[in-house]
Amino acid sequence: MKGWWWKVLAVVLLLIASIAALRVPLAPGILNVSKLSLSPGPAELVITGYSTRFDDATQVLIANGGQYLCASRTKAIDATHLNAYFEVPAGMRDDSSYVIADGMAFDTPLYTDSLGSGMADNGCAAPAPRTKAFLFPNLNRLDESIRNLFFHVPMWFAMIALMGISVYHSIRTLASNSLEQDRKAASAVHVGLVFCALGLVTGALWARSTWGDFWTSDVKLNGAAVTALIYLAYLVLRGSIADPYKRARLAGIYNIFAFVLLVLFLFVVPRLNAVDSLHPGNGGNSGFNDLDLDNRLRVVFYPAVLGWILLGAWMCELRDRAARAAEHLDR
Amino acid sequence: MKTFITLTLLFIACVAHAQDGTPVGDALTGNSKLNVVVAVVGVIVLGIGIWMFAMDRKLSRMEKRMDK
Repeated sequence: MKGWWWKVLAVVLLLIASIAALRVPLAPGILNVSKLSLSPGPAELVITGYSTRFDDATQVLIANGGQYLCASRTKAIDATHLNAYFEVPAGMRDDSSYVIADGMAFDTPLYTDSLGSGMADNGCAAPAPRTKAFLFPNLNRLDESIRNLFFHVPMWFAMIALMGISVYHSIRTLASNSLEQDRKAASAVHVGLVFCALGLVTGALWARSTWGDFWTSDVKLNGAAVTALIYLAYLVLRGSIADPYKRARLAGIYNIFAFVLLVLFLFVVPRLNAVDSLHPGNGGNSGFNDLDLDNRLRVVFYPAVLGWILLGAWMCELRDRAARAAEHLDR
Repeated sequence: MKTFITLTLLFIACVAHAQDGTPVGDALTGNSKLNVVVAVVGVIVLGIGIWMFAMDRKLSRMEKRMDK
């Protein structure tokens, strides 16, 4: 098993992370409330939930300006649909009322009529906070596709790790004039480009479902595309020089510039204050760091990233061994 | 390089076909969006699979040369 442990680790990590990524349920949430506004008098709301467990005892209330109004009666249609009946009083404080069912608030407020100085005391208390289980956050528009975090993002981590390995070998090439180091650098770029392509395609699919288009002219997306072109140019450059020592030196120098540009295009430019970006973690957007359930994502995300990086390193090693054997045949 | 070009061409073919209103376009914006996750995992498995085949062919060619 000598020298094999990290390959076993790669498979184990990918297995565990992928099973968790696909099997951990999403936190329940409210998808829809049937009314857009509230006015004094009786009101019937149909609440649609996602992975909820509604029953007739589910507590439904309306929050308005720090006061609460409990439903006079609730009737569950099924686990994800609920009828709630309210006697809405006049004189609520705020023109936005929030519906809360089973401790979960619907993020779109209901426009409220006949404002006043507040409701009379009705004995309805604030809802108890939900107990937290190991669930992934349920975000509007993202829904189940939040699971792509464990597939799309590690592609880029693996690509950047491979390009890092490549630039390390390029520096050693320049230091030692070793053709072996140059071959290793090229193998890492080859495999890095496979992960780059997978990152671009999976990102485009995710963008289609979240932003509505496969490609937007976003700095992060264009930066990733330019990075891919820079590394394709590395392979073209390397393939166009016949003399192996000249090739090793030129490719080594180009690769150092390419890695600097990768860092600029993927990390620096999209984070400049002057540019706007849809992509999480850029242009003032948060990544997944400030979600209240972030740690549940991290527990699955980091093993997935490490697993994909190790798999990439393994693929790189295989490619390099094949290239070494080919060189031997050519001699 | 070849793998990259194959994947890019596949992707362009997908985009060309998956415009709004067509089944593929709709499937990616379905209600719970689980379809996107399936598509993403599928693309990754397919991509790694294509890489494996490319590697296999490379080794086969070398074996042939060795036998000569």
